[in-house]
Amino acid sequence: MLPKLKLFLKGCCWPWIWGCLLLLWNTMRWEWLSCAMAKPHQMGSLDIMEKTRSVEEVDLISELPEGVLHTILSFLQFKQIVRTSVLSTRWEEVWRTYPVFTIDESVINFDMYIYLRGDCEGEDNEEMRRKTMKLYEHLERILRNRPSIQKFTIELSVFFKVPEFESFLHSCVCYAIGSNIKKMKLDFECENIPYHLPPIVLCSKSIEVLKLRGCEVELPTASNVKLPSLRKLHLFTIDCEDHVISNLFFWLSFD
Amino acid sequence: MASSSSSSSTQVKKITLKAADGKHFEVEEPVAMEMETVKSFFVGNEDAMKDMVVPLLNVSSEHMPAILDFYRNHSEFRKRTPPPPAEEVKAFNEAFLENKSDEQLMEMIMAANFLNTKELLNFLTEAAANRIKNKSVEYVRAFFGIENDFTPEEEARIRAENEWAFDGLDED
Repeated sequence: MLPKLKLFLKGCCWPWIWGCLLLLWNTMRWEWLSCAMAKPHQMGSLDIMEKTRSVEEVDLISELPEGVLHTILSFLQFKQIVRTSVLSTRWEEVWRTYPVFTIDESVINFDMYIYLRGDCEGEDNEEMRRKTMKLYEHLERILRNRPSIQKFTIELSVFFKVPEFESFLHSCVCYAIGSNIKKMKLDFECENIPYHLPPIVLCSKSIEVLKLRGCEVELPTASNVKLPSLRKLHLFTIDCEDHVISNLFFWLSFD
Repeated sequence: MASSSSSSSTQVKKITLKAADGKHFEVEEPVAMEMETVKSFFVGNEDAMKDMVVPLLNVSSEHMPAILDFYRNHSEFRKRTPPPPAEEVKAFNEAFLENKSDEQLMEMIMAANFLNTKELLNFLTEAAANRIKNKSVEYVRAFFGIENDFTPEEEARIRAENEWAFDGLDED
């Protein structure tokens, strides 16, 4: 009787077990296949899965694609962005390829602000002058060493009519235009002393978004306004004549 | 694993997502489609809809409810006319981040990157950036768990090159 039962079990159970195994195998294979399909990102996912368990010990963030790390940088002030270059070799690379250049309040700090306003005296003034010139030089080097610049921003509360400062901004703006940037924002909150916009900005083939505040805008004399890529134009407390506005909006109507 | 064939539901179609640790989540189709990774899974493969389980290898089940909640709310915000007041969106976003530790935030950034959703990724990366704002290099390294692989000389050189950027920092 016992051998018979064994035989019966052999006869019935084995196909059943095999069926189950086959089913399991198929589902696993299907999920395996589907996860291969659903993985648009370059990270080794199994690798990451193991690492997520000990996030505090492992540097997860640095493995993210460069674009994601650039997004993190975009929410920081420029001075801090520069500081991320010292975090690790990976972050230095991320900084070097960061396609945005900004002159904001973090760059022109309070001491410089006092100096530019002309409120420094004697030795302090000389010291600040040296410091400031060094900074201009350094910032220009940063700008010129970018492999690509997409966006150029100046965001300051005031424009200072100091020759060195003006020529520094001018040189940066012109360099940015020559680098085929897509977005430019020149924003001086206090419009009492407007920044004289280098006319070359209005001849940029690549600019798509142009935002100006607290600027004095004149049309280029030698050539006409040419902004064939312009999609968005923001003008806010601009110092200019009427025909300048109509000339600028003419380029927008093309799209 | 795949559910039985009895699920010929007439209501909103559901999609089953499987988190990294194997836990399953039944999600309404429009919410699931907020994730580009899930969407790309079904593109040109419409027949497979019903019974398929979508594995999300880089998303732990711990974060799934919050992530799904974000999608549900933000897609509703986008659809609403007139658009919701900024305070309402802000209140939701703040509540979302309220009890999240730095580690949890980091894991969610990894998840959002894997799910390939720009809105969630932007939101979380901004939150991370806010937590390291004006902090020292050492703080940021510890925050992200970045290992400093520079030699002391290399690091000193980069610091010297960018001297102005290291001025007046509080080391916390």
